[in-house]
Amino acid sequence: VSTGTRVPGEQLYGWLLRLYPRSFREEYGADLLDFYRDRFRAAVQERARIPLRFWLRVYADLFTSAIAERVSEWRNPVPSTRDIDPGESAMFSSLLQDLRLAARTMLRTPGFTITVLLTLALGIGANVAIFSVVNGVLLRPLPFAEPDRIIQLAYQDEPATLSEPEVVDLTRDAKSFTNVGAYSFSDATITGGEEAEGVRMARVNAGFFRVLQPTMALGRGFTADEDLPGRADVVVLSWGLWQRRFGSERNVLGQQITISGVRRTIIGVAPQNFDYPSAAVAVWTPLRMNPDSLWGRANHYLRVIARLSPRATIASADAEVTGIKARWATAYPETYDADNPLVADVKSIRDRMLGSTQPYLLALLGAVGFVLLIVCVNVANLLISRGEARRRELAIRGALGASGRRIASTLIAESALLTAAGGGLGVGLAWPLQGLLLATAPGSIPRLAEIRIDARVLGFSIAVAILTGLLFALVPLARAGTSALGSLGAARSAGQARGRGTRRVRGVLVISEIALAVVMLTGAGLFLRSLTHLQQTDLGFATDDLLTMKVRLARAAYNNTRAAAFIQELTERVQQLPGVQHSAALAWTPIVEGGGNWSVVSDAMSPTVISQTPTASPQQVTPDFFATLSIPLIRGRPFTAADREAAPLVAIVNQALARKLWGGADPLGHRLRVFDAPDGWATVVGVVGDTRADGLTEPAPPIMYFPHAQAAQSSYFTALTMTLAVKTSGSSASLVAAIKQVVRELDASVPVSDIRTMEEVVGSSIASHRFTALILTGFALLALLLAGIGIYGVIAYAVTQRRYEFGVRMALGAERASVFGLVLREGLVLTGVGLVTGVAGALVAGRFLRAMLVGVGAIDLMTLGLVSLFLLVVSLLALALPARQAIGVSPTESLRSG
Amino acid sequence: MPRSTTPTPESHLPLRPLELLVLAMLAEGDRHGYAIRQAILEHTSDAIEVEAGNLYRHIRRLDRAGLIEESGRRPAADLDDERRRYFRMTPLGKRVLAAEMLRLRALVRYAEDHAVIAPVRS
Repeated sequence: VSTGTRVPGEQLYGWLLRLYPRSFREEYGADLLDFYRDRFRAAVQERARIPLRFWLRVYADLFTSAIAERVSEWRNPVPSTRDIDPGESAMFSSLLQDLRLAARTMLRTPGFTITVLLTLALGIGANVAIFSVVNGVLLRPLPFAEPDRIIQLAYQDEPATLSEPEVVDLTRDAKSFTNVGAYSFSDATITGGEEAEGVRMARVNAGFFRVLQPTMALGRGFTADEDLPGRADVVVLSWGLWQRRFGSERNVLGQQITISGVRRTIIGVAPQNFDYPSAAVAVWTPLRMNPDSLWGRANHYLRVIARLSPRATIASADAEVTGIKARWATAYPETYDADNPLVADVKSIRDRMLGSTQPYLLALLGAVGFVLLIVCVNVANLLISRGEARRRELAIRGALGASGRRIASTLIAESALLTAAGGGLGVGLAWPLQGLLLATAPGSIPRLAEIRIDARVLGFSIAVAILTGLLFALVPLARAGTSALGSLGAARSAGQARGRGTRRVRGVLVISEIALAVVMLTGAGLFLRSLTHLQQTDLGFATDDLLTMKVRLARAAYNNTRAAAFIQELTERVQQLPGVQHSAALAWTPIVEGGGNWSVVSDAMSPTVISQTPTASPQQVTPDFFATLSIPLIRGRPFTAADREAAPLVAIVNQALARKLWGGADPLGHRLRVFDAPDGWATVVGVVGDTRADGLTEPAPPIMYFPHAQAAQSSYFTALTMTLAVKTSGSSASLVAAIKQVVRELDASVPVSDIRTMEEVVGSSIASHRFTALILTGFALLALLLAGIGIYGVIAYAVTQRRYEFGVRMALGAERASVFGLVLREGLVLTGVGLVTGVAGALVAGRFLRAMLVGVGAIDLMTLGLVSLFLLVVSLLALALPARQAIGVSPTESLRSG
Repeated sequence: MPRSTTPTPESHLPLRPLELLVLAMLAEGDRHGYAIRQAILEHTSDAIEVEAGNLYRHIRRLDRAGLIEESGRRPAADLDDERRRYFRMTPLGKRVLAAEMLRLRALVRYAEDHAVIAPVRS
């Protein structure tokens, strides 16, 4: 072996040489070490600090070449040369021996092994499961070509959408974009099969597919020509629809499908993972803006995406769009309010799609990382207690000639084996955990279908397992370094002092466990508090016993009059069903669907340009609507069946709109109309209470209600997709079939979908919040359990160690209560320090959660107080057991055994 | 431990890139492993940075094929008195290297003829 002076890292490198096949090691092991030394010294000479790159290169080389050499050895075996000195041979062959020994030790103490393995498996499994979600949603590439070159363009404030002339201008003028895509959603009905099917449809321009450039499963996207009015009707199907309705037939291209009464030729099938703009979209059809008669510049309804041209950046594109926007403001002052400008906002498509989900997932990833830390601390703790129990064994082995290094390598082998087994179990556990996550995950999380355990997740698991192994092996290893030096004789006499040292280390471990648990419990507590806040939010309408479902009428079969008649007939017949108290139809479901934001004009104002008008959400309803949703009528009257097509136009406003339009004056008898509908003046006949129609976290928007039957005159059009709301008395399960039967009797081609209770509708809007709160709480409780076990373990161990002392104290007349107190005090000091550290940590962690909290601050004294109290109770429970044990010590017996 | 049964130089061709480099670097004289690495770095404009495991795997292959052999241990000139194992080319190794170089020269000629690189006028 070489004679030179040692360099840092040499020992580890030397130890890892065992990865090479024996014959190779025998031949070149020493040379490799020489090489390592030379390389290290040269690297030091070059710079004072060894760069990370050095370690990466050295170890990457070691691992890859060891594997390569093993493979070539296996394919081409060489007999080993035996003529080397026995010391070296022992060193090289000891790895296997160590592992064998470790396995035997583990089998000999099954209780210990199972505890450690389960703890590790839980920690690693939870990490892998959460990471697989993060990986699928955030890390896997979006199903577009060069997704980071795609941006989404919106206005910062409502309306976020753009108008047709704006899209045309952008496509023509913006040099930052190679293509501009525009789209809007609508509902559609597919007929022709056994059952009519209601689906979401995206109407997209020709630029849409050119911007996203998905690798189509079949066929292609739309050409510019197909996007012109009057051309052949074509459609692109989603992968799901293709499977469902066409059984994945490959010759589907060129076939026809009837969508909302229009026969369309299938020209493409989107790839499996393509879920833009939403996973619910089943068909894409051409948008067909008419270049000769575009809709108004103020009619904002298009969402816009674009692909950056090669030299453009998001910032430069933002600057250019802002410039173009400024030119519009000058050219069309009647549309753009100079005092209240719409600010263009260019963001990467990734941020738009994932931005709202990202913080929740990262919070979960952080939490699960904390769980892993606690797991490491706990396993380290377990290993230490076992190390103490094995002190004698190690001392004997030392006395029999095992070197300190040899004993350390045994411990490393044990940790490695535990990590490998725990990691394997953890990955196995990750599958069911992931299934559980997916089952509880809200549908609002994008790209759920992308979640699976792939190579990256497995790589992550291995990294986590190795990190875990290193972390939990570190402490016992550092301690074994000294322990192995102790001789057999010294082991006993040094017991007292060493016991105290061990207690200190374990005390620190328990403190960190408690602190981590406090942080996690506080995080979970904050989420639970804001969830409660959300659930207690007054919606302004009653959700109980309210059943909702969507009914879609096809434009081809229903003009405005027929649609109004159908909806009226439907609500009246449903009203007759037994168990139905009220039934009504509305154009959009509160909370989950937006009502849009329309410019409105009242008789109290005389606006000249649209930008000066206030806005409100229009809602089309049938007469019994307010009773069905229990929205209080504050003044005037509700709609009646008499408010029909030919009757005088009427409207009902909510309080927010009444204030906005007429201030304190009584709105009854006043008139309003939507902008651009000069003949649409409707007389206000009632004022109703505000509702949180835009979601639980949004303020109640101003809403104008129009009778569905008059909507064509007062509100541009008659809604064809209506939500049927049915107030039931008691269970609604049997009613669903009856209602569907009514629809079928009226028109069998009308699909009924999205059957949900209003409570489910509201629940779905806070689903990510509930999901995060649920999982955080689960993790926090796990952390609490582990911390409880940790503190119990340490104190119980301390009590065993001090049996002799307690025996003496009691023999000398100490009261049982004082011994009990002694033990409690020791544990409570640890708990106290842990609590203080944890509260400090929780305050820091709270800052990261702030944006996700509703109705509760990041620093919430109540949560902190409750968490501290809770932990105190748990640690008292964990302490009571060993304390009872301590006073149960019989003085004579303990003196005899000491 | 030479195991090759057909000692004709051509049967060893083509050499793997790193084998070629190792052999070529031994043309100047005996070298130890780290010195081979440094020589390769120097002659490839720092492009090829070979690490220990990979290098010795190739040294082993060359050794087994009888193209190089150990030339004894001795102190490295620049490194105190640490002993290093030196390697040198065997006569067979030299013939194989020459054969490979001729093959490469033909390749270079081809590139010159087709105006990929400018021919060297001597």
